[in-house]
Amino acid sequence: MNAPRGNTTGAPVAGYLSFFLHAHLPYVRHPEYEDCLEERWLVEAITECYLPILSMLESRAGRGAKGTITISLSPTLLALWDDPLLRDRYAHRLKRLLELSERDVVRYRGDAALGPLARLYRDRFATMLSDYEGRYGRDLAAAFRAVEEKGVVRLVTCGATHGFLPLMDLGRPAWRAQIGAAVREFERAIGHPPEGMWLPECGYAPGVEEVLAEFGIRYFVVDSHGIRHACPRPIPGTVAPFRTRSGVLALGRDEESSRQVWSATEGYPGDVWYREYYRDQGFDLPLDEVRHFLPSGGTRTHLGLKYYRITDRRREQREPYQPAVAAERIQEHAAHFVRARVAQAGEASAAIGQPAFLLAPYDAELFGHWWYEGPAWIDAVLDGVEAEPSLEALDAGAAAARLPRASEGVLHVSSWGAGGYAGFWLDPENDWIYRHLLRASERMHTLARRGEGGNPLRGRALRQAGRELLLAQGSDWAFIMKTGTLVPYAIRRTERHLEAFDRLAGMLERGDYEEGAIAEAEAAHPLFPTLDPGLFS
Amino acid sequence: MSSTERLAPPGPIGASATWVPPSLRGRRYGDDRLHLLVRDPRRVVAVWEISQATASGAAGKAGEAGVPIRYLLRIERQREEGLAPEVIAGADLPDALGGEGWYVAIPPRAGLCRAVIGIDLPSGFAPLLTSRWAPTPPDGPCEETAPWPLGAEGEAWAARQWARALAERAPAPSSAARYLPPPLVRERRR
Repeated sequence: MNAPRGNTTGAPVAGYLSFFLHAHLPYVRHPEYEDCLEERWLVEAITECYLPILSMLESRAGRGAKGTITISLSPTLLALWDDPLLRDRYAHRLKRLLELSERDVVRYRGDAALGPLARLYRDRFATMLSDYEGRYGRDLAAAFRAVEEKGVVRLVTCGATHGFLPLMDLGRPAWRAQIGAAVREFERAIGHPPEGMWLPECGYAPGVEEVLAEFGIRYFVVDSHGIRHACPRPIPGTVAPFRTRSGVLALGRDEESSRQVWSATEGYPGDVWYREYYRDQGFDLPLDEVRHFLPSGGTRTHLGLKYYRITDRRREQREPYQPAVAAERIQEHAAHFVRARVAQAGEASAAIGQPAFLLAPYDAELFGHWWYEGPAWIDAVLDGVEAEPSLEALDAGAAAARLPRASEGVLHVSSWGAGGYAGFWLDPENDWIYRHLLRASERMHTLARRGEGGNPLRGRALRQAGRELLLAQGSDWAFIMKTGTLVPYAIRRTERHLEAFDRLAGMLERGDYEEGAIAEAEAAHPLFPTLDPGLFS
Repeated sequence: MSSTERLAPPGPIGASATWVPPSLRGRRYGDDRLHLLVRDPRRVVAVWEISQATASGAAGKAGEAGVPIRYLLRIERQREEGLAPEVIAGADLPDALGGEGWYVAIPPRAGLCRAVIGIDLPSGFAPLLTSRWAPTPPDGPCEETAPWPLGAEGEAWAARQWARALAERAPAPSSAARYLPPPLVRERRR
């Protein structure tokens, strides 16, 4: 693998800017339906986020640009990318999107504002389809691996199914399963062990660092207050790494970088010239013209063809999107961001006596999906940093390794959810799940300790019970219940995995294995093929 | 009303739950279980199941003592290793056998807490179930400061940083919002 690209001017560096994109989707796969709404999360994310980010990274590698970012690929996302059924379905749906965009080209022929946009979308989808089917051979993990080889990105992992670790009362055995399975799945898909881990929802609990060390992880990410509330108080705050007692580094989110992307008042994505997310042909076109492209049943949803800019958030009226003006705003926002980081790093490095570490972590799905111009903005920021002798854009691990000193002490529970702790995942809307999840976790621990007993069928049942438990633990379900969107789906998924686990655990306890039932469960959720039940023991 | 406000008085789990699937609603597994989950520095949640055998034994003890059975939940904190834990919060559990959880307000402090469910007898609190110890976070920065060499400018920089951190205790906006509208063009949820 090539060394990370960085600033080579020889000038003193005041800081390292580390973009960290966390890419994750829950495991949603429904062969029983021809087309379901939730499965379209993957379609949207590949089309609007993962392929544009990949394309941006390829472009940077192709022109020899400097700067490396970090991307965490969750094991469930890797499993979705790798699934033959979902690969087929993605290709099919991208073709349908291309077809709709071709209709729009005809629909808006002669329209000076919308016509060029329709052609832009058509060309974009055609290129994506060609890349996905051709250059990438439908293998997105391999495509990301290829850009990693070129030194523009460092790939790391996340908890196996995005389970929120602080609410796993069993502690170490439950954490080992989430972390150990993630590390092994990552290595299987990407070809090398991960050096870092994005803790699901940045959810840290004391003791997690010991399990991370056991699996060779060198660093993880926590929210700003995770570092600031450590004991003793670390004077540099988040601008220096924090060494935990196991030796694994905790890297804290830089609040200022976060605010400029997320804040309702200061954030860039709300700029009036940027593309509006909500106006979409899936809602705008007459139902008869778009029904063919909607999920089964004709439920209106976003299709990814959006023709308007934000314009004015206080009013309903939207004006046509103008990519050229948006491109200018991207440059302005990138320049503003870089100036702010240069100033921030200058002050901080002078104070702490070493380069400042500025970690800018975001959900990858923000970029391109929610914020259409996001990948181009990252590209422009990295270009801007390249031109700044005092700042370098490095992946999190490389940046931390260059810093001579780290704070040390004890971390406390924290997350990056609303309120900063477990409140989003433990609330009256979702609290009922824990009695069942915690019991299942203890039951799995007991079963795993008994082992496979040389019985291949028992081994299959044990592995599948582990998969079902991991899937039930995904933080996404509690999150969805709390937000109030698609709640019945999240409840069904929790219930379905717990029931499947219960059935399999019952077989294991009785020693009475129904091969048909085991095979049915395996077929429904065929992820993590090499899952080691010993991780639960 | 935010959920935090709604949770202000200690209350039972499930009171405002939207919907629980029939297969799991009220399901009992037939064994004793007590977990303590830490929601934030000021609130913990006890989750339990009391088996028939334990309930019968408790009823027998109350009967022998000639008092009606009264289940209590206690939250204990370990102040220092080797010292007896102190009770920092508690609640009556009128529906201990049918219920499954309770939110409890606690004084914020870094340390270890556990839940204990027991019955109230004339001789005192008789514990029945005890949870594992769970770490609770502090509600702000630590008073003790780690050494880090700073110059004169560094002291001023650190003072500014920490003043801001203390003023903004809630974390900066984060996504954790994969299924929410983007925070900037629709009403923010946080």
